[in-house]
Formats: sequence, C-alpha cells, structure tokens
Amino acid sequence: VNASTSGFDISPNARRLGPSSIFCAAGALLAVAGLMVWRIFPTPHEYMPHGFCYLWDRKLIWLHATSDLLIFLSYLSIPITLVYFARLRRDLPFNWMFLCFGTFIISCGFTHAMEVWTLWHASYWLSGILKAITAFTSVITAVLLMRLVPLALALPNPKTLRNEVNQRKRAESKFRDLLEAVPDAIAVVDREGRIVLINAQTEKLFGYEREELVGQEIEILVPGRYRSRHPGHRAAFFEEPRLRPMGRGLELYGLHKDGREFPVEISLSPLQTDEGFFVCSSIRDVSERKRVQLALKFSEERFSSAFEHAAIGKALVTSGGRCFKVNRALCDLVGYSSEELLAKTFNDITFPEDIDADRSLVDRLLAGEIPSFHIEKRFVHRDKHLVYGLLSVSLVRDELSQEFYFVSQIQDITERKFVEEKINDLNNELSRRNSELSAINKELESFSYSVSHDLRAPLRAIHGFSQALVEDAQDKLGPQEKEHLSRVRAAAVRMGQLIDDLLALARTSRRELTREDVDLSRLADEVVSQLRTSDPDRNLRVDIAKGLAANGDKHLFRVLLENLLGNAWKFTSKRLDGQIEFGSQQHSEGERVYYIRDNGAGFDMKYAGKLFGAFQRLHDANEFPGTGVGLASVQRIVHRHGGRIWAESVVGQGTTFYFTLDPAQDNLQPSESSLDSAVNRPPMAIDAAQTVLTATEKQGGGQK
Amino acid sequence: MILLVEDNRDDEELTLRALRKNNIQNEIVIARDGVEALDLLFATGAHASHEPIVPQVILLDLKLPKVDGLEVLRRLRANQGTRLVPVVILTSSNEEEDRLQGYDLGANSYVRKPVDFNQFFEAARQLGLYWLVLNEPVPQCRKS
Repeated sequence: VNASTSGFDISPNARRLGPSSIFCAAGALLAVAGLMVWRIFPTPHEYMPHGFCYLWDRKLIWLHATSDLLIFLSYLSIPITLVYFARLRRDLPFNWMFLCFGTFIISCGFTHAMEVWTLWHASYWLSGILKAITAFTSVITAVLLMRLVPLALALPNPKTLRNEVNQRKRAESKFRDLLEAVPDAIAVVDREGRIVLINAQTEKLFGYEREELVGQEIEILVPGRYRSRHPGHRAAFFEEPRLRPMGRGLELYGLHKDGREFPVEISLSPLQTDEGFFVCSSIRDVSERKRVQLALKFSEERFSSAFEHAAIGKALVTSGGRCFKVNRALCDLVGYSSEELLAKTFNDITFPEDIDADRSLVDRLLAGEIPSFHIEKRFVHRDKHLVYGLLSVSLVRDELSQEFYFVSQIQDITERKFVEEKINDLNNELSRRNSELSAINKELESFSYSVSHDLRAPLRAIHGFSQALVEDAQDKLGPQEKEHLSRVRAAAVRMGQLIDDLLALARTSRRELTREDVDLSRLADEVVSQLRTSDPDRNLRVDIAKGLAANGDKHLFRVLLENLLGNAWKFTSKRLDGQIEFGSQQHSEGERVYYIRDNGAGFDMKYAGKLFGAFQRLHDANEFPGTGVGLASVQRIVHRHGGRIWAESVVGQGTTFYFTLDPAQDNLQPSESSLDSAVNRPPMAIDAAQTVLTATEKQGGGQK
Repeated sequence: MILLVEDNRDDEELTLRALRKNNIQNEIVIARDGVEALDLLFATGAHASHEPIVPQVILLDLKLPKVDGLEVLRRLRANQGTRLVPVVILTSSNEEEDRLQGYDLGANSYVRKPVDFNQFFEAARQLGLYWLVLNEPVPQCRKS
C-alpha cells in the first residue's frame, strides 16, 4: 500500500472526487493503522474490556456505546460537508484549514468509535494509538489555527465586503455615466491599437454600433490617406505617454461609417490600469467650429474688401483721433498715402475752422444719445486746396478690449457743392430774370390794353369823318376825291384789323394754359358752322374725323382751329369743288399727328420758311385778304402745348397742315408716311394770314 | 334821355352823328369823365344844384379820365337809385378782362366801337332802336 496516495494531499484530488472517496480514504487510513497496531502490538489478554469498569451495567454500557457511536457518525459527516464546501468555494482564503479541520474531526470520530470497541474488547494499544494520531492532528490544527488567527482577523468581514462591493458598483456606474456624459467621443485603445471601450458619443459621431467598434483597430476611424502612418504615431505615444493633443498643428479628420470625413480635434491621455496600459482618446467634432471660423474669415475678408474698395473715404479712428485704418478712397480724397495718413490725426486733415464743428455731436455720440451723425466738413488736401466732405461718424465698441473707436466715412461732395453753388447762382439769375420778365409782361399787358383802347379811336375818327365828308359834301367832291377818301377809309379799317390781330397774337402768348381733355372734332364742327353762317354762299365739303381729342387749353385750341380751318375756307374760295378734311394719324412712335387738308390755292414750298412768321404773307391781299398773323398765332399755340407744326403744299392743288399737341414727342421729325400722304394728295394753299377770329368778329359785330 | 359818357371828342361827335342820323330825338346828356357822370347821376359836385338825372340808358366808355368806366359802373350799381339803370358799355377794346368785369359789375350790354363808320352807324341804330323803343324800362327807373 502506498501511503502517499492518501494522507493530507487530498486537495488536488478532492477537486475531482466526491465526498465518498474522502470517506474511503479516511477508512483506509484507519484500517492500515489498525493492522499495524495489531501486528506490532499483539493484544495480550491481561487487560479487561472497558465494560468491567461500568460493572457491565447494561444501561450505562449502552449509554456510552450509543453516544460514542452517534458522535462517530456525526464526526464522520462533518468533514465531508466541510470538504464539499471547500471544494465549491475555492475562492475562500485559507482553504487548507478546512482540510486540517476535516482530518482532526475524523480522527476524533474514530477515537469515539474505538471507545465503543473497547467496551467489550481490551484493545487499548490500538485505542491509544488512535488517540495519539488524533492528538497529533489536533495539535497541528490548533497550531495552524493559532497562526492563522491574525491573518483571518485581517480578512474583511462580509458587511465590509458588501459595502466595498456596493461602493465599487457605484464607482463603476459613475465611471460609466461619466463616460457617457462627456460631450466628446471617447475611445480607449490598448497597446495593440484595439478599441476596448467607447461611449455613445463615439457611436453617434462615427455612425457605428458599439459592438462594431469594440475589438476593432482604432484605424477603422482614420481616413485611408492617414491610416498607414497611424500605427507609427500610436507606438510613439506609448513610448512617451503623457496627456497631449494629437497631431498638434495638423488638421485631423475622422472617418464616418458612411465614408464621409469630418474635421476633429483629439486629446490623448495615458491610462494605467490593473489590466495594463491604455490610451484614452477624446475626440471632438469641430465641423461647426471650422464652419464658423471659415464664415468669420469670409466675413472679415468681405468687410476688408468693402472697406478698402469703397467709393467713399473710410477711416477707423481711435478715441484719441488717430486713424488706424484708412482706405484707398480716403487717401485719394486728401492726397496722402495710407502710411502718411496713419501717422496723422483726424484733425490734421480737417480744415481748422471746421475742427470744432462736430464737437457737440461727438459728445452726444459718446454719451450714447445718438447712434451716429452726419455733418458737412471741409478737409485740407495735401496740396492745400479744400475738399468738401459729407462726414458720417458712428461709434463701435470693441467687445474684447472694451475700447471704442469711430467709424468715419467721408463722401467727397466738392463737386456737388460746386454744382449746388452753380445751381444757386442760376436760380438767383433765373428768379431775377423771372421778375424782370414779369415786369416786362406787366408793361406789355398795359401796353396791350392801351393799344386796344387808344390806337383804334383815331382810326375810327379817320374813317368816320371821311365818311361824314363824303356824305356832307357829296356835291362838292369829284369822283377822284371820293376815290381817295374811300382809300383812306379802307386803310383805316385795315389798320384796325392789324391791331386786332396783333392783340390776338399777344393774347395767345400771354394767356395762362388751362389744360383739360378737349373734343377737337366737336370744336371743329362749331368752327365750321360759324364759317358757314358768316359765308352762307359757299358750299364746301368738310370732313371732320370723329373722336379727335387732345389735352390742352380749350380756348387756344379754338383759336388754332379757327385759324387753320378759316385758312382752308379762304383758300378754297376760288374753287367750286372745295374740300376740307380734318383728321389724325397715329405714327409708329406713338405720336399722334393731326392734319387739316384743303384742295385750295396752295403755295410754293420754296417760301415755306416764311409761313409762320408774323405779318408774313404768301398771297396778294387783293386775292386773299389777311394780315399775316393767324399762322403765327397757330404756331405759338402749338408750341405752347409742346407740339410741332409744319405744312406740305403744291401750288394749285392744296395744302396740308400737320401738327402735334403732345410734348413728350416734340423731338420727333415728321415721319415718312405723313410726307408721302402729303405728296400724293392734292396739295394745298396756305395763307399765313387771315384769321378766322377776324371773320367771327366781323360777324359778331354785324349781329349787334 | 341818354347819358353818353365819352372823353374823346371825335368819338362823341361821331356817336352823336350816328344817333342823330338814325333819327333818335331823345335828349343826349354828355359827361366827359367818370366824375362828371357820377355828379350828374347823383347830383353831386359841380351838379349839386341840379336834380339827379335819370337816363333811359347810359352809353359808357371804359377808359376815362379821373374815374374810369368800370368804377362808374360799380358806384352806379352800389346806389339804390341807379342800381337798375341800363348801362351799355361802348368802348374800343374787346379785352376779355374788360368784358368779364363789365358784365360782372352788372353791365346790360357790351358793344365794341367798330373802326368802320358804317358799322358804327349800324350799331348806333340798333342800340337806339333796342334800348329806347323795344326795351321796356324797369318800373323803378321811371322818373318818380
């Protein structure tokens, strides 16, 4: 029998064997011990069994026997339970102690079993050896236990342990919460570059699920073009691990799961744990910041460009009046280079008399009462001439330095000033001339009035007394004298006519225009019916287009039509088939051209230039009477309405007068169509002379 | 009675001639300026010793010395006694302003003196016929 198969070294086997095998081992040990005792110490029979001591009192015997047996059985079961427990709780400290206890209790058990045996059999040697073994194991156990006590005392008690566990749980939970609460994406990477831990921000930022990243190499998050170099950088960090930003001075990019890259900022920190050495990277998406930076940059560039290339002079001026930024236009305005200007104060370039002009405004600006102000100031150009400027000043407070500075803008208004002065001069001149003209007009008016009243009276006397002479001295006058007196009378009448026409012409100029929409067709109808009444023997055909209208002075339009239609009436007097037509043509430019056409005497176009001159006549007064004022009046009326008038004529065939009454079109020349139609038609005659006014007046006079 | 207010002797002569030749026999009183006309009508000034005249018609020139025709007309119309006396403005001018003011102040007619004496003669004939024969005077204007 090999003793080494049993004994103390049961723990490795006990891990694999059940409690029954431990029992067997213990039994085998006892059997071996028994056999050895039997052999070595053969039991002489001189000792009495233990029952003698109890006087074989059956009750006492059985009390001992039963008790010892029960103790044995119990002692046998306790170590089994202990070993079973120890086997399941291998994590417990001092595991071997349970083994010692087991052995010692089993030994005790066997001593109690031996007590039962020795009641009837006097095997006291065997019993003694058993006790010795038990003593041995007990002593060893006791010693070991004593040595163990300080160690066991040092063991945390279960409550402390529970607290500790809870604390750790809380700490871990805190750590998790902290990790998730950090606004940055966190990735903890081990020495091999494998991701061991990430937070939700990392998932969100890179678009991966947690399971997809943990265990992967960190390079999965690095754009392809940087990926090959990354492990090198990583290794370098592990060489010299300390908290530092990654890739200082470089633009870093992260790679999203969908392939998109985005700018990031990464801080690296070393992380030493029980489980080894890690690097904790804190990753921040800086897209928004980049965008804002870019926008800010653009904005600054825009401002700079707007400032520099503005058409008006601009300067940023400190509160002390020194320019610290000036633009091109300001340099041009005062003739200095920007370097020279920056060395000057604002007052240096201001005309001395104007330096204090805006003092109160500046005070109010500084007091926050007004946001800005505008003032006209004079500045001195490098070559000493004055520049008139419109100065606009506003106040800007620098948020960072809390200092304020002025934004000054200067618009060069020298030209404007010059023009303003010129306009002023012209206005003065104009109003002077205007009052002169008014005075002249007033004089002219009283002159007109005087002419109207006084010039005709002598004519009346000449005519009246010549007539009286003829009537009273009829018998004394020969035919020659009578003829002379009749000429005197005719001249007087003619002079009266001239005076009337002249006054009418003056009136067309003097009269104030009262504009209204005038029905020209109706006006022409009225004029023609007047002509028919005053000259009932004529049977002319007159065609007046319907719906002719114009905006202007109705009275002057009547004078115009009276003259033109009266002319046409007069110059067709030699024909039996006289025709007059009044109409209008719409020209392509939108201009409306009115025309009055007759088939009368016509005139030689050679003299067309004289047509509208006052007192100009193209016909003999004997043939066609008139003073030569009518067309002058017509032209004046047309011009006063902003229109033009011209005529086409062929001698013996007729005349057409064209006129416009629209000021907007007065720069246009007569168009081809009007010329064509004029040439193709029987042209007409003109008299620049006779006015219908006269005819109607005569007629009016006759009615009185 | 006709009151002729006329400063021009030629015109006065011709007017009288035209009226006489038309057989108008009524008395014709002549005033040579506005003041005289008003004195005659209101019995003031030089004519304070006479009764005020009450003409059947006044032939009134406009351009007169001292007080002009329109002013004479204004005062006539402002006076209860002469308010309704027929006034015919007989003048050289046909200025719009004159016509407008004349009618505005209550002239009954406005006749322009033509240069042609034949026309003037005709005008005088018609005026006499109309105002002295055809026209029925306002009752209040009758001599009381």
